[in-house]
Amino acid sequence: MDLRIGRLRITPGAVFMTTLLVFLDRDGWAGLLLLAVTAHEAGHLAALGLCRAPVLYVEVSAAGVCIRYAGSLLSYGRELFVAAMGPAAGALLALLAAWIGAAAEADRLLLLSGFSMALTAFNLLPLRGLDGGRMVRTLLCARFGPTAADRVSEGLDAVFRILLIAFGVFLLSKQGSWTVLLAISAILLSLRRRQEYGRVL
Amino acid sequence: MQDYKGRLYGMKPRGTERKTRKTVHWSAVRLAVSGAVLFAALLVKLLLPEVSDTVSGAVLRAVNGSADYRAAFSALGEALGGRRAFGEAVQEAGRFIFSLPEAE
Repeated sequence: MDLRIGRLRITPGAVFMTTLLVFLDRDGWAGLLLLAVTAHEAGHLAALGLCRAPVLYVEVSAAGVCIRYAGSLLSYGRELFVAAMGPAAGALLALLAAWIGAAAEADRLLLLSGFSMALTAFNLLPLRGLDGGRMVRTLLCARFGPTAADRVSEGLDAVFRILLIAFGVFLLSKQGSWTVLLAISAILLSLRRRQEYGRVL
Repeated sequence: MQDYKGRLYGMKPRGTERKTRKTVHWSAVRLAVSGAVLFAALLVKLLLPEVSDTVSGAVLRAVNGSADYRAAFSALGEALGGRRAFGEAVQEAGRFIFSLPEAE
């Protein structure tokens, strides 16, 4: 059972993750991270609204936010647009925050910009379930058809999963830092779950 | 008097219905426990800020090791804001995460 407010679903994992962030946050960085995530998802929601694709629900879980929509109505072009609007909104927030932060000497805005840019870059990785993977698959589908697109995107997905886990293990062995490995494991597990559900962002 | 499934009121639910009810019950407990832990964390943070700072500092040191992700993200933001050259900022972000030696 999730906590449901309209079309918003909040899982127990999300509540637990919020607890962790609230407890570990000593100078407001968790709020900035949540703001960056919200801007990214707002980009997707705006694009879905423009394409008149009905949003079934928005699920907030331990590994992030997932929007489920009735995507069978979308053409390849619109699907590409919907997938690209999340990273575009994130990049826009990063540039705006950096510009205002540099002009006003506001370090928090520069940190927000860094978070938003890193989140955007991560979401553009060609992993299935992330925006980059969805964009690559849509482009390949339009050019070569769904069978070839699935084969190529599954290959890319496997390669990038291995690279990400290797990066996490490298940071753990070199710096003693568990952060990246834990975050990547949680996100990869959540992406596997997203694939079972179909049309999600 | 019968319900919408044609059963008499007061009948015990069948096996599958009992299972469903149990699943819902446990997920509700998970949600309630998560909410209670969040409430407790907020209380500790507000009422005992020193304890909260000590514990969170220790947890962050244990999890982050010698990497400083906050400084790395700030360096990235400074590069985007034009405070410093992009290449220089990326190098600095790398130094914060990988503890690379400073360039001469």
